[in-house]
Amino acid sequence: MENDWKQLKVSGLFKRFDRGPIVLSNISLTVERGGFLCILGPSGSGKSTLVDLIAGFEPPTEGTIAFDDTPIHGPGPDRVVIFQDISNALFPWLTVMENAEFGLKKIYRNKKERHDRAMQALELVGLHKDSHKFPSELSGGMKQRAQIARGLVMDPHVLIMDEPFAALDAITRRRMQYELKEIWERTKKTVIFVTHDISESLILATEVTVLSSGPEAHILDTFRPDLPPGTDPADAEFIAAYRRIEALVGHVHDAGEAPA
Amino acid sequence: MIRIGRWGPLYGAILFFAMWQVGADSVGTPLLFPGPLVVWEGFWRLAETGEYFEHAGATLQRLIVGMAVGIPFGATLGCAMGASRDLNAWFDPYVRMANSTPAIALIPFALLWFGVTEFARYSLVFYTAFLVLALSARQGVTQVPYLRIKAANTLGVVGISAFFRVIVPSSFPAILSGIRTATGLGVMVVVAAEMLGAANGLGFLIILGRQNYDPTLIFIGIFSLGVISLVLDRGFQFCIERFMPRWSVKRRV
Repeated sequence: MENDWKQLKVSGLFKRFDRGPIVLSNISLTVERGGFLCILGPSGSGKSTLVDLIAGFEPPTEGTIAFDDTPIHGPGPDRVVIFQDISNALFPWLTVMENAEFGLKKIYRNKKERHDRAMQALELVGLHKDSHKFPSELSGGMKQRAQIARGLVMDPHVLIMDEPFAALDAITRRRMQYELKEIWERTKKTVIFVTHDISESLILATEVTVLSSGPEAHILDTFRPDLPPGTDPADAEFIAAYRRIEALVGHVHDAGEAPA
Repeated sequence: MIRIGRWGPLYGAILFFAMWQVGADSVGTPLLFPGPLVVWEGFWRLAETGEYFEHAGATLQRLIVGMAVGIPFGATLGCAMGASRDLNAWFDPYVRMANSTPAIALIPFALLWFGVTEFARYSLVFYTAFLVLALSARQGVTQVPYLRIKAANTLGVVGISAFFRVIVPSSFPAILSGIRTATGLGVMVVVAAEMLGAANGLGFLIILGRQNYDPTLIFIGIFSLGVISLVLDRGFQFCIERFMPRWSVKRRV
């Protein structure tokens, strides 16, 4: 695919599986190149289905997904997904380095080049000293770093992150959020980040899309939080934004989700 | 749980041999129940002339040749059946029927077709290893977490290369445990085949002991089989940990 795309456009997306209920209803959103879009929704709102559609694992029932005017088809390294499932996303028989190189085999014949590219990505996520380790020797946070490196190495147009930190403990999660933000600022990769955590979306996103609860999940609102850089989750502006989203989602609460 | 400590296995062995000796003494004659000392002497006599190693070596060779051919063929069929619904529908009834047909039941056929030959014995071990590996490899392939395939796909690795780079390695642990199961069953089959038609081997030694009223030979044969199985299994595990660390049990997240 050409490298001069400007937007990833999702328009009029519907999804139902066979004769089941409609999961997603009329989802339209636009991700600007270099942006960080958070898709925020309660559990069961079809977030993961939306990821599957954008990633190309599942075809939409109706609607289109396209880079500018070039529709996507099937999964591919232009839209690398970072998965939530910490224990199965990495290949356990490969070292961190071999995991990071996994997608490069087709692209670079030269072993040294593959190695250098992977090492660069591992340095970016702070795993270069652990490149010889196997996934079983890594903590949950390190596993997700390895996964992010494995994705970044492909130089995707869009990095799709499906609740990547949901399985981590609260402290690690917060640290990973800030590190991801730093990585994003440095690489200027376009990111679609799916989460049910309001604070997480406010810390990370340049733009937030809020999904209603399912079935027939639809978009409640899309807005730019526009918090000044360095806003802390304890600041009044942050809390105000948090409350605004909470009101939008209405009575749907996830326990234990007060702003930190 | 009762804690016995690291020397527990040694105490267990001493107890085992002591009970064996006491049991043999109470029977009173080695012509019915030889004790461990008598068996050890008998083993030493056989070992000195080299006869023992001829028998043990013959058994081991039959086992290894049959396994070496059966494992790759069985694993290949199993992986293919796991990956293709059509292939599975084709082969599944036969694999299932064969699986409940013990190799021992096929010994008469093997002898009828191939005569009292090495080939007949190889083919029986082959049959056993082939079936076990086909079943375990198929199970390995069908149990690959779907997420791993998605992970490969999103990195641009799809179709046949995803099969070889993700599905096959993912099912490797199942294949390895299939190899261990097949080794245990293979020993049984070799012995049965040797009892019904062979001029050497540990199975033959056991039959010889019965014919000559020399139960010491029977004991030597039985004991050797146990030891061979144990050594093969432990050796196999050791080799994986030592030379293929990425497949060690510890790595399976």
